[in-house]
Amino acid sequence: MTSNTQMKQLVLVGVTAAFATLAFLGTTVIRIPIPASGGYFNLGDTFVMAAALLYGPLVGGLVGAIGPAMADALGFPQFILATAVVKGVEGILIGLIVGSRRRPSRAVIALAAGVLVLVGGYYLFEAYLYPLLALRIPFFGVTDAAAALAEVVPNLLQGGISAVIAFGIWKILARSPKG
Amino acid sequence: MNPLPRLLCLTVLAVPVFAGLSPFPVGIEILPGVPWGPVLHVLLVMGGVACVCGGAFLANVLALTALVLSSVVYAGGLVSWLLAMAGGNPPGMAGSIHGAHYVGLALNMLSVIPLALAIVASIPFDRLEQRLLRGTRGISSGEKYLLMFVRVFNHIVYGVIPNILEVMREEALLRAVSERASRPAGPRGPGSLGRRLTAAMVQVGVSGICASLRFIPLWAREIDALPRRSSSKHRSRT
Repeated sequence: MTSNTQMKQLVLVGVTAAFATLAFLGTTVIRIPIPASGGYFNLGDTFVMAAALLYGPLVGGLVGAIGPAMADALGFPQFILATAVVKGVEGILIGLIVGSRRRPSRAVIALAAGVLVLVGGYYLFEAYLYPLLALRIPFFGVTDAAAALAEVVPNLLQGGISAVIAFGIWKILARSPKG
Repeated sequence: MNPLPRLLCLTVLAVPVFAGLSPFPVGIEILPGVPWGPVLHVLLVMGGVACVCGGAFLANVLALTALVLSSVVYAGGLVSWLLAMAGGNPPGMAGSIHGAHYVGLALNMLSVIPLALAIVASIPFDRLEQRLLRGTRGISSGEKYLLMFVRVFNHIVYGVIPNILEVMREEALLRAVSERASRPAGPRGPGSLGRRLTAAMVQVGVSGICASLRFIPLWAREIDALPRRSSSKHRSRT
């Protein structure tokens, strides 16, 4: 491996670590619980979305899979699996849609798709996959279809607010020469 | 106690907690919806953390847990209670709708948070960086990535976040003084509050990201320049 390639990879690791840590802190600091499902509302998605918009699908996916899942380990370990998968996919999708072109319209479409993945992904996990897994592993028996439905609106709100803040961050940082 | 046995003890304590299993039978209820089993499990976990990490550590961790609980459990419980009352329930009835959920959540977090913090505190992050750099045979590519991750994590947790909180506190103080000196201060509706809040969140996000990424290119250059690990086969014979 040439030194230049390794330095680029080190920068990528550093950027991923930075956004994952910020997503972890953003998820941990502001937590508003949702009694119906046992889950909670947070703003950690802002950094997943911002990472995907600024650095593409690889960094976005890794940040989504690592940061918020680390936060779930502090108090809500049952949700680690759902969070890592849903937010990882959210980061990858946003990064893929926004691509290398820095058009605001594309960023808005990417963020809207990210919010849909967040809401739909959690619904899928909590309404269908967790109850199925709970048949074999009782640890996952925390939600059902009714609880998953009750979480749709809070998740939509969480995704919407995070998307607005991430768009603001992207508009400011994408103007800088290095993006 | 050395870090490794300490980590092992805490892991043994943590497995049932993180798996949602209790070694105690459920038992009779001491509060509506809250049986004895989880309460005994919390006491066992706290006793274990105190034995392994010391009483002073447990006291600090419990203070932090209380801070986390204040938003998650107390504020959440209060909001649920107010919403249930707004729905036409009498105060006692409104409390019992989600009360058991929040007491159960509090018990869960009283065991999960001290354990998670004890495990994190037992991993010597500060010594990890020194140990990686102390090797006389150079460091491998994987260790270089680990070094970068640890350095960035430490920088954000111990440098960036405290600085941002300090700046926010100072700005809030300044704003309070300037607003008192120059009233009236523009329209104050819910829309205006929402816009100001969003702008403030964007500003905090940008500051956090910029401060976090600031030294990464420099560190990448520095870590890249570290000598690579040389295997004994390729060592010079001079």
